[in-house]
Amino acid sequence: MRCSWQTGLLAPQPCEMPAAGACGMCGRAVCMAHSVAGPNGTACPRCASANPGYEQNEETELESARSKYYTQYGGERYFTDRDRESVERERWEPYDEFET
Amino acid sequence: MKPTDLSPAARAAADRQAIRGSWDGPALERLLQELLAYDVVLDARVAFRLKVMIGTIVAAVVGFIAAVVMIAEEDGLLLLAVAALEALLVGATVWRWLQASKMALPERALLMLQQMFLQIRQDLDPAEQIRVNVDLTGPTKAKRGQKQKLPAGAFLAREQYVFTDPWCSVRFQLRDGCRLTLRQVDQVMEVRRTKRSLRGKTKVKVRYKKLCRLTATLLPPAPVRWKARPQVDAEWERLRVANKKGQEVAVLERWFLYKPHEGRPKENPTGADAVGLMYRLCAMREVAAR
Ligand SMILES: [Zn+2]
Ligand SMILES: [Zn+2]
Repeated sequence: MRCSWQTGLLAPQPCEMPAAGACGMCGRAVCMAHSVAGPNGTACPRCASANPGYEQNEETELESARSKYYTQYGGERYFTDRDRESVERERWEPYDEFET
Repeated sequence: MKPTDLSPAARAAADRQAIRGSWDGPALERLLQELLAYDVVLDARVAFRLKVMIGTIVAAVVGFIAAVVMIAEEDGLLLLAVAALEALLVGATVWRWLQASKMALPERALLMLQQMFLQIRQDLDPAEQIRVNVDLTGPTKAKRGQKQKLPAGAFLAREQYVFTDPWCSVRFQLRDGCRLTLRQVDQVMEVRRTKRSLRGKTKVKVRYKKLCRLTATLLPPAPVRWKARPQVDAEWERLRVANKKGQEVAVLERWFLYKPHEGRPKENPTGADAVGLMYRLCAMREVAAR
């Protein structure tokens, strides 16, 4: 069995290290690095980020950020209409999009 | 932390107020970390020198009054010498304070880059370097545009300067071969409003506004079929698929507006704002189900 946890955020890839066990909640096979101990036993980073009592680490934080990133601005209004008028987008000087 | 604790790379970046060239992910993470720590030192130095300056000015005034009382009638020349010495001292402290202020680094801008690279470190192709062109000098005079007259309204006059600061451009390759570019251009609007006070004096009040445009560009290694559009805020974001040398790239932009109650704007988009743009862009590709 291999760890099936998807590492990364922008270019996700399965971890594929030898599995050390399975997540007690979703059954996913996870390696040592991707298992989190908590009140319901071993959990994968996703279940650990969704359930209270689990220690948070880099992986669980990335996991809880994922859905937030995708719907980051959905329905939220950061600005008022007056702000929008002051933006004056047309004023922007053109610049080369792909020049670095 | 002392300025001497900086690594040579961080020292060079802090002195030049710029990060340029090609970097390995871990080296860039370390550099940003160091610069953020150094910025705390710089801020403390500016605050200290401001205190010294104010203290010196107060001492100079008190000292001059004392000198007038003690030596006034006997020796005008001595009094002049005292005044000159004090002016020199005050001038020196003002100069030192200005020098320290000029070296300051934009904390929020550095924080955005640092948090962003921390969150995407697993995604980077370790064999490829990150190309960085970051200018940390902020909206200097050289970036200031022409003076614009605005409708005066209730004021005697209203003038505006616009600073254009294309300070950030970073490009890196993901481990699946996609290339991502993140760019930020700031526009700082300085509005000077002239008012007549009740006593008939004219007063100028300066207000600032900062508009940031954050642009993420995704260039896939081979032609792709784009999946459904990600969620885009119609008012503040723009998503387009453009053609670059025969290959399709996806570009997502977002505008951020900051209006501080007083002083110059210090805010900047966060690392999460930047990753959010890139995450949605990357979700447009057809990739294996997670
Ligand atoms: Zn699970
Ligand atoms: Zn794993």
